[in-house]
Amino acid sequence: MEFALRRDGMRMYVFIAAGGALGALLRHALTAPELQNIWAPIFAGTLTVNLAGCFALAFFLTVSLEVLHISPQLRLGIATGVLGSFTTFSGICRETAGLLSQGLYGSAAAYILLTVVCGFGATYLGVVFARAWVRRKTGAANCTDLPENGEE
Amino acid sequence: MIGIGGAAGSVARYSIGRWIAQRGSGGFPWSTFFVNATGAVLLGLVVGFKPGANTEYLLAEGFLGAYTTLSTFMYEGFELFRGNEKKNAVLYILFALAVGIAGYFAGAALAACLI
Repeated sequence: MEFALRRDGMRMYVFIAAGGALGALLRHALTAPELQNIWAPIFAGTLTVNLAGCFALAFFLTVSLEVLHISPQLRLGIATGVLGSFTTFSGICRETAGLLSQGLYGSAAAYILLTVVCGFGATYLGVVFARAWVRRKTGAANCTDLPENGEE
Repeated sequence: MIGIGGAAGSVARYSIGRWIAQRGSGGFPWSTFFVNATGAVLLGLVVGFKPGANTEYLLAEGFLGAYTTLSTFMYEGFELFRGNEKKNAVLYILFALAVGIAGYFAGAALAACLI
């Protein structure tokens, strides 16, 4: 019994670790300096990655917590692993600190504001899109009794 | 390098997050806040030491990039907002960002002292 529990716990870590590796590599692929020259605007890389991740997490959590019943390990692997690792908070702090120490206060404020407002918007859209998708999948009939979400 | 760092970073975020959540959070997402704040300080520290490319990939982009997270942070902010705690949600987001940026500077300053 305890062994089974421990094995389940271990498997959860494996999922999260694998997801985290994948998320970090994806982020690198999209934000690497070599590529930023092609993708132009300075922090478009991190900003794009973060916004895409916000949208994807909101969409995925809404769908998986409310209708799609997948194993908690897989859910953690994708949400906490891939998407949690794909987006980054320390990267924003680093870039903002860089702008601030160059005296570009306006750009720093704009960058933060853009990240927060658009991140919030992307999360909102993720939830809304997920709801709409769920409604179309299940038919309007049985979508009133959504189970409460909460753990995580 | 990035993959290894990313795997370790996510597991660290998950473990620390759960450890904090077990201590009770009073409805405020302290675990993500703590992880993001410490991640920012550590990144300042790591970058302050001007690491080589491999260390940068392993620790900065891999581990700390994955350890901190924006998507969960925003999702929690959004949940607070939706749960009619609008003031808390805005406070949480702004406070966490201010702490993160200040933390990054503190980490970088510490590294500068240590070099």
